[in-house]
Amino acid sequence: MSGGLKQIILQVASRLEITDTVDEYFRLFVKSAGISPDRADWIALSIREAVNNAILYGNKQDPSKTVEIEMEAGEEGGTAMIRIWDEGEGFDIGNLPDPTKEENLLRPHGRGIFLIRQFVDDVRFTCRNPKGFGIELLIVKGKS
Amino acid sequence: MKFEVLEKGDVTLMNIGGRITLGSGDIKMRDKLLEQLDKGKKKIVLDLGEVSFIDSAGLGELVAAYTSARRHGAQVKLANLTKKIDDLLDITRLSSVFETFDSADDAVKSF
Repeated sequence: MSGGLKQIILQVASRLEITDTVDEYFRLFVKSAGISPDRADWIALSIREAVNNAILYGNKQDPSKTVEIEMEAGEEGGTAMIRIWDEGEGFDIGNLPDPTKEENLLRPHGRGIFLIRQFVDDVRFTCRNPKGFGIELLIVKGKS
Repeated sequence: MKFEVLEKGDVTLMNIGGRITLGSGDIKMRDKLLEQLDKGKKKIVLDLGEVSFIDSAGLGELVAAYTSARRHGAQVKLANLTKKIDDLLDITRLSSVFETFDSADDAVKSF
């Protein structure tokens, strides 16, 4: 493994403009995470969607609440993991409408989680005590 | 975010540049389009050739542009899509909603 940062942990205030800063850190992480430049753009989009969700819906844009972003490169040939935590209670994952269904196509919202699922290899949702909701984006290293 | 509005006969061509993302450009695009619809414009082309990045909120704004135009009896067509925006429209099946063209000229002529 050469270059880049193997682990990054950020704790940021719930302000939408922070997603640009998160993106800058992600670009430092890309090389060590074995993510190809083309795929990096899609994963950057996934992170942006997850961080925006955490700020908007998890923390309801309360700047006193933090969003925690952890990027972990993992071993070569393995997986990289990006976790995004907010201070909310989460949401019903099973109840998300499919934005590609005919009846949902003209809805202006509801594509964020769908896009995340398209661009990373696995998505997990988890809660932690005493409070907090997390989304984990798993990326198989070396895939183009 | 950059906006330029040109009149091509009875077609309004809106050249959009920069990012259409949550908190950066999404509301501005909506306002600019509504301005044109309020002026009674019925044929609108959004040239996205210089849009560097779009997220789900940006896609939502394109959808809102489409539905607002329809409510006003107008039509919105997209032109000059980058490969990534084209891919996003395919993935989200929004390619079945929008008429898209390789160039702004083609889009203008299509009305």
